[in-house]
Amino acid sequence: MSSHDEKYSGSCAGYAIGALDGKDLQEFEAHLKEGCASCGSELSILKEASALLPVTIPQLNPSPELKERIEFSARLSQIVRKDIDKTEEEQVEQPDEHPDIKPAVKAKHSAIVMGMLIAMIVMLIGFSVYIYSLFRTLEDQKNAGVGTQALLVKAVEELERKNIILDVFNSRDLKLIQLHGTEFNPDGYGQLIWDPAAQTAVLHVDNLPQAAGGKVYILWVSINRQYLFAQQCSLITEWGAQNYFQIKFAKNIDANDFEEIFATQEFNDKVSYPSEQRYLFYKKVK
Amino acid sequence: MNLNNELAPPAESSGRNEEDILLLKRIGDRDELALTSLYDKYSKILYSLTMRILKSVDDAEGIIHDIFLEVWNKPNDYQSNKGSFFSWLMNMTRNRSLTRKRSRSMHKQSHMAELNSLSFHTETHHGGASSSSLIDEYRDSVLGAINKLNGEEQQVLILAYYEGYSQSEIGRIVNLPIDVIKFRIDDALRTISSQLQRRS
Repeated sequence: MSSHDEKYSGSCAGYAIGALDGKDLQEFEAHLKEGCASCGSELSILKEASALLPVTIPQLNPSPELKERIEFSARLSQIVRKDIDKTEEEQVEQPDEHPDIKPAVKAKHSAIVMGMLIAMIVMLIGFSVYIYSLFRTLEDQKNAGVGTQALLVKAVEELERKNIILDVFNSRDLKLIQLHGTEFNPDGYGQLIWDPAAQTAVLHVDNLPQAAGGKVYILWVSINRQYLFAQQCSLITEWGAQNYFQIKFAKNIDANDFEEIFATQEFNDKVSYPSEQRYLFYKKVK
Repeated sequence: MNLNNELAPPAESSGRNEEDILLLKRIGDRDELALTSLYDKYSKILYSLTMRILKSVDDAEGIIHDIFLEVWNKPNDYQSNKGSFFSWLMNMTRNRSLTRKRSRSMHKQSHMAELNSLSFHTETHHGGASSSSLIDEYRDSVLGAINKLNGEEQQVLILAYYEGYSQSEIGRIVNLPIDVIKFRIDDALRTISSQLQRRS
């Protein structure tokens, strides 16, 4: 056996399953960085073998809800992505309000917008840092035009909202409450995606009409026969036919306590009791 | 034992990987059915592995949810030159499960209690109609390979693979020098690898 085999070959298996530690690990990683083809190849084969070990354990089926959750998550992230693309196109199509600005400055500005949109996709990490830096950049470029700045601020607010929605959606303790259409609009439906740890929810509604002139949608939650005002939801069709709203409950709530969830159209957001016109509802089955 | 001279990726695993790469490409094109196909193909074994490590439905489903969402959002993270998609997926799942387990400080449990419960499932069992083709394809071969290991080798392999212990930690648990542990892990995994290749 060569000195190479003696020193490194015996470490391949341990490294493949993550058991190598201490000095052995340091030496073997340094050896791999040198580009040893033999060890690299052995490692690959041993990793493939170790990946097959779980075929021998008792096979368990995950709940059907897990598949639904994953499909719904994927759909939501796709909607967000489409919306990003759309926003990007809109940004590109904006009329040139400041023809006097030098092309280099415009190019820099355009790069910021692009960077911001990419950050949306990878928003799970470092999003807040990016927003902060974006505002700093905006501060530095006040002379670049108020209209463009307002556009960017609006885009940032939108991204922040979607970031919260995605954060809720990625919560591990997610609860899903199906909402059903009323007689008024039997085609309306929705879900309340609930993150108990953060006391935050995302209301997803579909096929509901625009709020009548001057009215706003209010979401209500009924617990112990008392109506808890949740949040004003200005129902606007901004993501195609889909509408997502972030809802932060001020009170500590257990989703299991929900008796009814519904939305009403009100003339203002100061009402203390819901009107009779209920657009979505969930009723706990007793 | 030089595996490079003896082993090449089994033909069927190569074919499976090509299928997986096609599914990943479709996922890159935002084809939800491709994600569903991938889920149907691998969710069961991934979930079983996570449950074996964490023994918690909530934790296991949380990890599987995150993994498939990550595949959906970042299908290009898999690099085919570094091994099969299946092994990449399994390694990612195992690593995350072990990280979660460590964060729950499950290592504080009695080592003796764990040792008493350590064994591979060496009896042949079939999952019925819901069993995946991958499991059907490899179960008997892997079981056969594991049965060729002695008890000590099986023990260190379980402690390393499912419990996530390092060679030093295993040495302390079973009261043996690290070199012995290292040799047992090496011998065990190479034996399994060789057996799988002979089968193919």
